Amino acid sequence: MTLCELAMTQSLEQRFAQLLDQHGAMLRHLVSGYEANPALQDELFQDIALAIWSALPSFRQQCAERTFMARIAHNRLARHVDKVVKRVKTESMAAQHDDIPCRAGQLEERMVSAQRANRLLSAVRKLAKDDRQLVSLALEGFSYQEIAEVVGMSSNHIGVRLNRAKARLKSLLEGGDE
Amino acid sequence: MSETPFDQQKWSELLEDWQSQPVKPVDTTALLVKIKRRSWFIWLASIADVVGVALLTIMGIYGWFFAGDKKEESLLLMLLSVWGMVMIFYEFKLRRGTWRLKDQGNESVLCFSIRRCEVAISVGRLCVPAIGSCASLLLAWQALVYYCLSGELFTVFVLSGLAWLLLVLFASKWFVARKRKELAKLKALL
Repeated sequence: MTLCELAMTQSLEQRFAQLLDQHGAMLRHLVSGYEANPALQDELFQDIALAIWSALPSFRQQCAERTFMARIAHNRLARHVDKVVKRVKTESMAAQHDDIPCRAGQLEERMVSAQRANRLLSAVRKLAKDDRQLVSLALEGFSYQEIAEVVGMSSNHIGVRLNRAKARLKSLLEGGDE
Repeated sequence: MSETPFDQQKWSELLEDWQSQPVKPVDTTALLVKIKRRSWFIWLASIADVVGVALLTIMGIYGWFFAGDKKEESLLLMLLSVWGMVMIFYEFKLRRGTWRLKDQGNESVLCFSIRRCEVAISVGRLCVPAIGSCASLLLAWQALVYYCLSGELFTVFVLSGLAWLLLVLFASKWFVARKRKELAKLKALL
């Protein structure tokens, strides 16, 4: 390996690490909206990371880094759903986060927050694939324009479909975890 | 079903709930090691595929031109190498498709999978007459040769032929049933 190649690889590694530090949580949230099994979530996260690592050298800032990563995640997750061809399990995800460290005082707050997040997560997983995708991106704080860039639709179309998806989510949340 | 989406406050609460989900911290160093290992294996597998097909082609060509009495085997090798080239082409196309930033909308992915399922069902259905008839012909030919040489019908050929046919039949039925279930699930997702 030449010095130039070594420098490029190191710079790529730094960039990759930086991207994961900044947007790793977003990727984890998107993955958890599609897959309930923690082991499969890790596998999917690794697949997405591999796809990002492979696409990174050709990324020329055509869009925001967050959009770039979400788009890769979307492609990979769409393939995952297509592969599994069944609705993901909607069991409680509380157990999978037991290994995340927290201080004793935060425990109660964390439990309440986790309960609400679980309810939301469970409802999101019950949505149809297209709705799930739009809602999970919107919940990550993506704008209509950014969602449009990720899924390849026009912003106006996104607005209409997202509203319908939100209405379905509301209905699921109001109906409880049937 | 409720037709009105959430009000601003409720939506903000949901945003907060969603974004405050606990996530496992990413160990970037360990992840990088795994990713590099997987990239390396993918690269190695691709190289092995290309080298394998190149070797098949060279052996086929060599056999055809320089090993006078091995024409049939050489032809088989060349046919296999053509098949290998087609496989490699699709393999690269698939990998490129996974990594490319081109959008693969849900519907196009689903439609592609439905089409793939339908083709698989047709192939599965075709398997019974195609493999069955080829195997029967081959076994009948072998049995005839054996009969001509030894003067008696070797029943093992007949039995193995029947076993083979049954195996193909069951495997094909199982495969088609599995693909039909998959197709139904895919169509339900559309």
